[in-house]
Amino acid sequence: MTVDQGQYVGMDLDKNGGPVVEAIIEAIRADNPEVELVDFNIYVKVKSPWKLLLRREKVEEYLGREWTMDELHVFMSSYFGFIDEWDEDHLVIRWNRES
Amino acid sequence: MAKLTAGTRYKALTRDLMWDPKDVDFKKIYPLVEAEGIRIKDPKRWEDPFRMTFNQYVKIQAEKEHLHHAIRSAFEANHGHARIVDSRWFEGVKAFAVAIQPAEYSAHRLMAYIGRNIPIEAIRFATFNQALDELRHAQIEIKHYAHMSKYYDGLHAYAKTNENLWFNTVPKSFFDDALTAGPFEALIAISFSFEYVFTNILFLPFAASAAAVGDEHFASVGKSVQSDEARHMALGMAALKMLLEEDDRNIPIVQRWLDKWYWRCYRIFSVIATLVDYYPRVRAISWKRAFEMYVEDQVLNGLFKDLFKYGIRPPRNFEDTIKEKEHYSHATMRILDHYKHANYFRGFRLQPDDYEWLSREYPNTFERYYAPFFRKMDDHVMAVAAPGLPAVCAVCQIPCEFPNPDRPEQMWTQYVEYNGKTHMFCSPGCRDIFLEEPEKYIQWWWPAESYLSGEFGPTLEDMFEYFGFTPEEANEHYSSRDYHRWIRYREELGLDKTFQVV
Repeated sequence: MTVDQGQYVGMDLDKNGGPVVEAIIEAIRADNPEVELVDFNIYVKVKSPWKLLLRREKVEEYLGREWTMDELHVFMSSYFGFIDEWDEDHLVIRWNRES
Repeated sequence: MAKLTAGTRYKALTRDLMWDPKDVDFKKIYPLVEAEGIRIKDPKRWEDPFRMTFNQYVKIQAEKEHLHHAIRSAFEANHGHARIVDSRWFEGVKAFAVAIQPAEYSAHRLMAYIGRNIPIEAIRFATFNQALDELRHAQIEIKHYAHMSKYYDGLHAYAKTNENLWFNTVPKSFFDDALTAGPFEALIAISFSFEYVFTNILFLPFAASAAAVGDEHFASVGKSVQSDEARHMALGMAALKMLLEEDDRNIPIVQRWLDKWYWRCYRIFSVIATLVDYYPRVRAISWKRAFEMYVEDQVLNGLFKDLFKYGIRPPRNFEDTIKEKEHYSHATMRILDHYKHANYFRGFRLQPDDYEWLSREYPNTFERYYAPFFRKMDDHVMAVAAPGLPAVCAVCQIPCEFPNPDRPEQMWTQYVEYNGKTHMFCSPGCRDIFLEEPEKYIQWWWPAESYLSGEFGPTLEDMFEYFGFTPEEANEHYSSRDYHRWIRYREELGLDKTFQVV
């Protein structure tokens, strides 16, 4: 069975971010059990069916220092889905349909 | 002092950017706001999803600049240009230079135009930020060409080439089309169709190609530019949602714009297909795969299913773009043939590894329809100095030489009679755009006509002078002085040595 690629929301992260991008990926993994990573050499695509949650607290936990959501702007090169929620603590990207 | 949350901080720093004028009629200040038939009931409830304020913006952008210029300086100091895998890559960068950089500057003007004419705080602030972004992009790109220009041909009189070269009518007419549309159409055209649907395919695969061939500088340009795109995409998505939700009467208008600008953006990206599939000797990804991932999966099967509830359908002619994905780069490479003796970026001879890669990535089309053509041309991707001037599409201004993807041995060219004149189009997509607004497109300027009427000067030398480069800077790469200079430079650095391990 082929997977419906259209169900995914996600983001493309710039690997220049090094440990920051690694911590973002770990944080996304922790909150989104069905997350998938696709490696594109200088970018990594992080995708999750229907909804993706990123929390600042989790990034800080993996990074071992304070981190602000604004820093995501430096390394999030692209995203797909609607930005549904965004504040100093978290980001939610999602589709609005059920299936 | 307690720290403000993102929401309250945004409100505090952007409130009162809009006010109701008392002394002057609102419609006099915003004469275009109702011109397109768009109805907005409550613009105040719309927010920029990232709610970025100016102090945050400056801080984030400064960090991006530091990152980029550190990489640029290292690349320049280490003679990075001599270390890439094959200098023909720079011919592709040259094409990018004149096709894309002016588009960045036009986008800067366009964002200012939208912000000026749409009286909605969130949109004004986001377009203000983006207007600054686009200038930054134009500048870091020019910085790259300025460095390249110390060693390679083609871009010595950049401003002049940019202004006068025939090739540039393609991106120029594209942005002129958006700049002469109403502000809401311009917003959908650029913020949504261009930024959300297509820029991924521009900067992600192209930066990946740059990295694959070892051009760390250009990879960094691509990444730094692309890092602003997430914000631009958010503006496009928010604007689209706002127009669709504010009033049902907006929906057919928005659908018409989506139809037009999907195809318009798609066509202007034809050159990008050659920069992904042909110019890099080591490829990161094919046009076909990039199109499937960024456009088919993420947009057509992803986003458009979400828009279905508003009564929005996928853009007209979208099936044609899917059908064309296995032909696009090859057909465009063949089109670039024309007038290669008067172009500032060169073609090159396809090498055995190129044939192998292209055949593998395009098993259904390359060997059957395109390889025989290139072999007949002695492996040149730009082989013939075409004796005549090509007929150009009256919408996208690209020569009418795209094959019909259903019958690739035939051209896709379309004809329309309008006001007693026959107009030609490269495809049904461009023809349909003309039929919606014929009065707009009959005004187009065709460089060949100006050339024939002597506008570029009486002699060929005058024409090159007008374009800002010389005949030696055109033609084929591996037989050019650029290639020989690159080889000599490598020898100086000892990069031509191979080391044996015993």
